[in-house]
Amino acid sequence: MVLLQLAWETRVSNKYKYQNVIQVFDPGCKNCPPVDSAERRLTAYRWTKNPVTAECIRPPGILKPGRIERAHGKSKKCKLVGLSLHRTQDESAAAYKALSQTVSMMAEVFGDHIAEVHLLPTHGRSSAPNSSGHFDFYEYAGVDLLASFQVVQKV
Amino acid sequence: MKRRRMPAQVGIPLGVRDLPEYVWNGDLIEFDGPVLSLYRLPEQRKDALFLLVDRDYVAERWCICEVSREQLDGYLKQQITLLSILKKAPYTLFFDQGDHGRRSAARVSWDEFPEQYRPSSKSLLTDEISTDTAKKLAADELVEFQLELSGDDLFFEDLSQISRSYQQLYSFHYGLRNLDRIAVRERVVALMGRWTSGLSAVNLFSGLRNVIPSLHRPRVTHLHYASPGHIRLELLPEMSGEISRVVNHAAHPDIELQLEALYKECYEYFKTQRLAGFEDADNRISERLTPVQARQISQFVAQYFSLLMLADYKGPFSELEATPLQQLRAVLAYHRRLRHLVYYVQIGQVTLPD
Repeated sequence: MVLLQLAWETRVSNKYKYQNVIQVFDPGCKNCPPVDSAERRLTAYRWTKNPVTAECIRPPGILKPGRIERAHGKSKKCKLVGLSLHRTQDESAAAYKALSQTVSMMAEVFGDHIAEVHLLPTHGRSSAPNSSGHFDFYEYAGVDLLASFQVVQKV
Repeated sequence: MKRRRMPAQVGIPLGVRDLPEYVWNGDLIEFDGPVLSLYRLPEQRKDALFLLVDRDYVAERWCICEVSREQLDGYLKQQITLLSILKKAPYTLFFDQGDHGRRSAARVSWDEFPEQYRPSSKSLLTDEISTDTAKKLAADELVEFQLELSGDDLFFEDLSQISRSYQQLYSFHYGLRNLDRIAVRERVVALMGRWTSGLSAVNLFSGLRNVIPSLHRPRVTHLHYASPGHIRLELLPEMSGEISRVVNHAAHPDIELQLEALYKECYEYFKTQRLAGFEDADNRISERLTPVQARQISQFVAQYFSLLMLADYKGPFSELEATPLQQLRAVLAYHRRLRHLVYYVQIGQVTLPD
């Protein structure tokens, strides 16, 4: 119980970049970022434009706040305050290729390159990846990852 | 640098208010938010797919396509493409969603469907892009289940009552079984919170139906209106098994007595604690519970779940964002519907194989 309390306090005291947005639907940030999220050291991949712009790495709910309002349930709202990333370049490319069969305007909607970023525990918290290697990343306050994203592949 | 704007909408313009009121059932593809979502059109009992086709800095463009049960099943199981579904639709609906609401709605035939928005001939719902919700829906296999009908005095209204009661129990059990699905959980909580009149109980069960996609709804495969006869349904096996177990268990005289005693005890408690009656903005009974009342009412809910052999649902149900009184009202409404089917089982007019 004490460990859980400590863990929760750590999660809240490291103020999130978009904490004021999270607090609206999850006061105290109890479930957002998700409870299974953790500070990790890893390399991750995101679909972006080339060059990577600030907009490419801004969570969708921050770019368009109305999306958070319309989202169903706290976990969906939480996802919109995180950045979608993949664990490996191959997983990112495979998902892009698969989705491009359904969404023909992939370049306009998501960008047409894959960018790599080296995440540190001090940058934020990562949710647990799903079976396709996709996870959400929640930045800490004061973190600016724009310069950290490097384009590695055109898709 | 000039920012890109989406091209003008094609097709027959519609007012955004002309768009039907679909009910969200879940997201099948999501990346930076939903990309392909499953919705339901309650009045017409149809499913629909909402596909993200375009985006600019102001809005997102969505395409709505109604989909049959067979198409949805085939798409979820990676047997048919999204392109084939769109091509076969008599029309699709488009709208732009911005932060200030929807605009630029249109009805679009396949001939008018913009080339740049058409999925490819390989537009399958592959594992790389499907959500856990989609994977779970794809994994569900249906079985045939037969309600046996017998007895000399089976009247037409009995058939109607039997079908309606079974449907309502199915909706409730589906809600219980799928509380981990956001659409279902949200719907259950919203419906339990609207106890403003006698129609609320009806709304609970009909409202739950709106978050059951067509491929999970009991479909009649054979009807034999005779005595003996049957109603053969195609449905989720765990649901048919569970409903049969609960009904047959509740039909046992000892259990029936205990259930009725509990029902009576609940309403006596409402009366003595002045918790009876309907709620409105000025009379939010369920929010005024004292800790003692909340504890007692939670205990009633727990007793019901134990008596009905549904103890596995006690935990998830109690964790819903609904007050104990709202939860108990829902369970009591379920009991009232359970009674109908129990009656027919007890007089031998309906048999539900376990």
